[in-house]
Amino acid sequence: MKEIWLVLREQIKYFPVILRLARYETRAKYMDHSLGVLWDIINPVMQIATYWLVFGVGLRQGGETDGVPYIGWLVIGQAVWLFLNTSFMDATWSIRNNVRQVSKMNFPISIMPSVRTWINVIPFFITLAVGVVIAVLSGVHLTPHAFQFIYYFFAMLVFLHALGIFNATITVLFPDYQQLIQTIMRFVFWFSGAVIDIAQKLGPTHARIGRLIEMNPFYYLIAGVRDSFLSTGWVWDHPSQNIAFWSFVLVVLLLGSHLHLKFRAYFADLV
Amino acid sequence: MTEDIKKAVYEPNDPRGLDEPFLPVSVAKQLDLPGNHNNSEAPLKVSGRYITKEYDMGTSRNEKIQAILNPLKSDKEKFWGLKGISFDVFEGDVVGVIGVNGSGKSTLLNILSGALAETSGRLKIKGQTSLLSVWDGLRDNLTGLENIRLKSLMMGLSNKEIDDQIDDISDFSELGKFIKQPVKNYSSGMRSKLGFSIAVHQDPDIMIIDEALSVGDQTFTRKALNKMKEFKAAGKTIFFVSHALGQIEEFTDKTMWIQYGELRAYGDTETILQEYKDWTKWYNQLDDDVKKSYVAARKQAQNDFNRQQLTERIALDQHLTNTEKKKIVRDNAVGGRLSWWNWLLAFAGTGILIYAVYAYMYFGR
Repeated sequence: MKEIWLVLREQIKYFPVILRLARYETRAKYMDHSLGVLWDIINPVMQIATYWLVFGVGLRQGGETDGVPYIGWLVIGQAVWLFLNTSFMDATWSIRNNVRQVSKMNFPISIMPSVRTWINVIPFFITLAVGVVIAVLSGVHLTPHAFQFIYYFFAMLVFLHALGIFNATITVLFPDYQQLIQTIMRFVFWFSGAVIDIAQKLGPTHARIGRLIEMNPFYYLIAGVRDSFLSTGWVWDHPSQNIAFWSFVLVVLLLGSHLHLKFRAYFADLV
Repeated sequence: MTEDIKKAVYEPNDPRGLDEPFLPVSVAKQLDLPGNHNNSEAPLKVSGRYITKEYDMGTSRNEKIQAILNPLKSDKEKFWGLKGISFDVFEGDVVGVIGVNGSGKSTLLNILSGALAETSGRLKIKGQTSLLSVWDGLRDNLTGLENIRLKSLMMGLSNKEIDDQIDDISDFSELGKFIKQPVKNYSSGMRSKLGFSIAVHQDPDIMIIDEALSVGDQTFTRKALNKMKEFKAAGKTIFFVSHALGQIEEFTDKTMWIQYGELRAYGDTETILQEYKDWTKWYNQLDDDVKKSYVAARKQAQNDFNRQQLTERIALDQHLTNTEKKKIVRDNAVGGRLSWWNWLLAFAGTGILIYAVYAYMYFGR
C-alpha cells in the first residue's frame, strides 16, 4: 500500500508541472501546422463520422441503441474510447522515450504517464461536448444522471494512472510488451462497446458471454459515461461491475507502483 | 634495451607498468590527500565512498534485468566503469574533472546528477544538483523562447519565476531575433549558447558542467567562464569537466584525475594538472603498439575487477567503522520485495475480481 501512496504523492506534488508539460507537448506537436490544435478535434470527428457511416447508415444499426438514437450513443462512446485509448497507448512508451532527458530534471519520472493523459483531456472534453450536443439535438434529455460523469471521470484518471505506471514500467523492462499491448487494444476496441452494442448483437442466447465481455474496464467506463449523459442507468445498478473494476485497478496499481519504484533507478541502464 | 621495453606487450600486472611516472594512489589513502582537507571549515556538500558502477556486458535485456535483480549470480561479462571512487567536496569548492576519454568521467557525473544509479558505495549529496548539458532537453519544433520556458519548468520553476528571468536568459544567449525561431534552424553554436544560457540561470546548489564550454566561439566561452566565476564567488559548488586544461587551470581550485575507473589523483589543481601533463607526455612518447597494449591491459583490469577486490580495498580504509564498511560494500539494493500483506492484498483483489466477474456473468448484477 505504501508504494501506491508514494507514487500517488508524486503525482499530486508535481501536478502543476504535469499540466505545464502537457501544454508544451501539445504546442510542440502542432508547431508547424497552421490549423494547430484544431487537428485534435478534426481527427476524432472524422473518425467518428466514419463509424457513423459504416454502422449507423451502412449496416443499419437501427434508429435506436439502448433506447436512444445511435448517433449520440456512438459519439459519446467514441469520445471516451479515443481518450482512453490514446492516453493508454501514449503512456505505455512515455517513460521509455523520455528516461534520458527526464532523469536529469527535477521531477520524478513517474509523472510522465500522467502528462500523456492530461495532453488528451481538453480534446476529450470537446469531443464529448460535441457528442452531448448531438444527443440532445436528437431528442435526449439531460437529467441528474449527468452528475455521475464526475465519478466516471475520476475513475478514468485512476484507471489511466494505474495502467500507465504499470505499462510504462513493463515497457522499459520488455519493449515487446508495447507491441503486445497495441495488438490487444485493437481487439479490445470491438469489445469496449465503443461502436457496437455487444450484448444486443450477441442476442439473449449468448447473454452470459455478452456479460463477460462487459466486465472489461473500458466497457465499464464507456458505458458509465453513456449512462451519465443518456440517462440510462445509475452507478449502483451494477455492483459486481463496480467491484470488478476497482479490484482490477487496485491490483494493477499495487503491482505497477511496486515495479516502478523497484526498477526506477535502473531505467537509464535499461534503455 | 629501452627499445625492447617499448616494443613489449603489457600484461595487466606487468611490473613495467611502473614505468608510468605515477602509480595509482591507494584508495584508502585518497582521503588523506591535500584536496580533501577542509581548511575553511566549509560544510560538506558531496561525499562519495567507494562509488562503483558496474556495466553488464550481457547483450540481451533479460540478462540485464537478471543482473539488476541478482547481481551476484549473474555470470555474464562485466565492465567496471568506476572501481570504487572516494572523495569529499565542500561548499564553495570548484572541482575540475580530467582524464582521457572513456575513463569514467561521464559515468561519475551522471551518478552525481542522479541520471544513473551507482552499483555500490555511499553517496551523500546535500542540496540540489543540476547537470548543465547543452544538448539535452531542447525541442527542435519549439522556438528559443519556448524552449527556455519548457526547460525552466522542467527544472521545477514556477511560471512567475520564469517570467521574471526569461529576458535575462534571452539577453545572455546573444541570439537576438533568432530567439523567436524554432531551434531546428539553429547552428550548433547557437544551440549551445541557448542551452548554456538556460542552464546558467537555474539556481542549483551544486552545478555539474559537462564539457559545455568546449562548444561555441571564444567570445562566448569567455562570457560563460565569467558567469561561472560569479557562481564561484557566490560560494556554489561546481564540478567542471573539460579537456581544455587551460580552462581547468584558470577556473578550478581542485582537480580529480580519473583514469580507467579509478580516482587516480585528487588534489589542488596545480599539482594534479602537472601530474596529468607529465603522464600525457610519457604516454605520447610510447610506440603505438605499446600504447595499444597499455590501454588494453587497463581495460582488462576493469573487466576483471570484482567484489572481492573491492572488499579488500575497503578493508584497508582506516576512516570507516566495520559496520560502515559492510554497508558500503553491499550492492545498493533494488527496492524491497513485495511485502506479504501486499501479496495478500494482490491475491485478495484478484480473487474478488474473479468472483465479481463470475457473479455478473451468471446473475447479471
